[in-house]
Amino acid sequence: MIEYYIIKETMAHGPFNKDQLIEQNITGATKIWFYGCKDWIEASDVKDLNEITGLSALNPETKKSKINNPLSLLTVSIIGAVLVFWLVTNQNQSSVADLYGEVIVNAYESDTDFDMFVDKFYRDARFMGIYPKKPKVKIIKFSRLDQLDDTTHIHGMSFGINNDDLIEIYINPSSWESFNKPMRYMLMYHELAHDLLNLEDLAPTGSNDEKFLMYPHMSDFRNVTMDEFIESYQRVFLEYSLTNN
Amino acid sequence: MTKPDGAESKSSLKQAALWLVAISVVLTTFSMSTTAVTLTENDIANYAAEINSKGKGTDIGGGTVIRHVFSKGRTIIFRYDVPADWQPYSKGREDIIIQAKSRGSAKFFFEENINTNYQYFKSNLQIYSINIYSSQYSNINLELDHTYVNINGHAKSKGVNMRLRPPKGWDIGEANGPNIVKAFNGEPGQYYMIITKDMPSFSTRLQIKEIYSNSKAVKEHAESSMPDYDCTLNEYDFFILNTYPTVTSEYMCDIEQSDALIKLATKVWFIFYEDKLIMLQGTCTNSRAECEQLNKLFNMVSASVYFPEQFN
Repeated sequence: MIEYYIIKETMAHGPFNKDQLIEQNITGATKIWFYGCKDWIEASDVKDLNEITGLSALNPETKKSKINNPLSLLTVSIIGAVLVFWLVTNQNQSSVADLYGEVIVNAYESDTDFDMFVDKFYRDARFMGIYPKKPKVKIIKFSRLDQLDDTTHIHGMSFGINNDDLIEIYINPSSWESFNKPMRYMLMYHELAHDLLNLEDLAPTGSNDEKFLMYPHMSDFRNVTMDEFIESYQRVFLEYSLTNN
Repeated sequence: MTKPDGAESKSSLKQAALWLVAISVVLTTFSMSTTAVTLTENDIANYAAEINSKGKGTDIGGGTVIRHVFSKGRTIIFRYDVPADWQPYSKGREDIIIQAKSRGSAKFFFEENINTNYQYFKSNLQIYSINIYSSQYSNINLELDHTYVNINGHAKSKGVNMRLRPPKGWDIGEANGPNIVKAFNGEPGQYYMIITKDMPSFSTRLQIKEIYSNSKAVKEHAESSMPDYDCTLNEYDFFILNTYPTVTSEYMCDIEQSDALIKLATKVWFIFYEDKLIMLQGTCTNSRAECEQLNKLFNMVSASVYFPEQFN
């Protein structure tokens, strides 16, 4: 069953199934997202929801704000029901700066060998015919992301998306500590896919696809195996390779 | 003085064993120095006939008399007439093997793949028999240590989390090679190593299984992994070891070293582990019989492999 996320009053809500969406009084202009969408789209563009948006048309929504992604430099991996929370709660560059500053303040060096994951990422990408640029600037650190304001739990953040000269990733140490090996690989490859392949997050679907690498809703990853991680990143690399080569 | 019940019988059996061992040592030296190759069944028959001609009718102690010595295939059969009060004793087999080892004939039986059978007669009726296979004369202890060797966190393990049980009594050490994580050393010519190598990328267990579901692919892997000597591939196989796909292959190699030709038998387990290839390699440079026996030990060591993260 498809699960939908909507934007109401600048906040993302969901997931909802089709029946639950009715109760949300959405209109054709409501921004909506489900797995497979590259970006938020208007509900009227979703054929399956025509009957719902038709019903709600009796109560037209007044807010028709065009949601542009102001944080193209920022992607996050979060746990919990809120998706791309920052995307809709912070819509200007000053907010980005605030967030970035907060992450930096909470960052620190450690002995953890993050480079091993980077090396393997490049190796596995090359193996599948992908040759991402090797940026001169590479910053991968722990940052106490639990301490960020107005957020649910964040496992990691990358700031190098759409900037091929930069790898900048911050990992939540409390997540790292609780993750087993496959989870750590999942997290690192997820963030590196943002920074090195410029891939965006996908939103949850409630299906088995939730173990897909670019799905940021990692709360269900507890039982992920190394084989599932491998299948997942190979699928991402393959799709990337087919699309970009 | 009255001896306790059974003491006489035990003594008689021991004496019989010792006597035969003494003969064996002499003949072993003779045989090995002249042929230096594995005895044929005909050679063994001649050997048994020689023992028979020299020993038949001899009282080896306690009234136990050699009745007849002959061979059948690769088994030498020793028949004795024992006195009326003779009783078998439970550790007769162990005593015969121990004595044979201390006197050297065990090595002869083992190396030449000769089984022995000891039959005891009272009034022309066989009342007892001990059968000892050639492999039972081996000095190789087919036991594993109870303590696992754990390579998790080892500088050369490359992140592989694996443990296994080494042969009991073997030295456990490090090695100089860049990929050799551990080396177990038994007697000279007996080695077992744990080696880890990087693969070009990750593979799932299912992907590897699919590749090697074809026996041709297994053979190609075994052939391409042959040691850099004059080797032949004896056997190859594919199976699952503790959930991880594994190719095994056995090689026989000739190595020239200081004008001497060394025969080397080696068995390798190639375990496909995430993005690593774990190689478990058992090697023997001694006699064929010893290498065959060691092969059993190597199989036991490799079968003890355990991956704590196999379900992750």
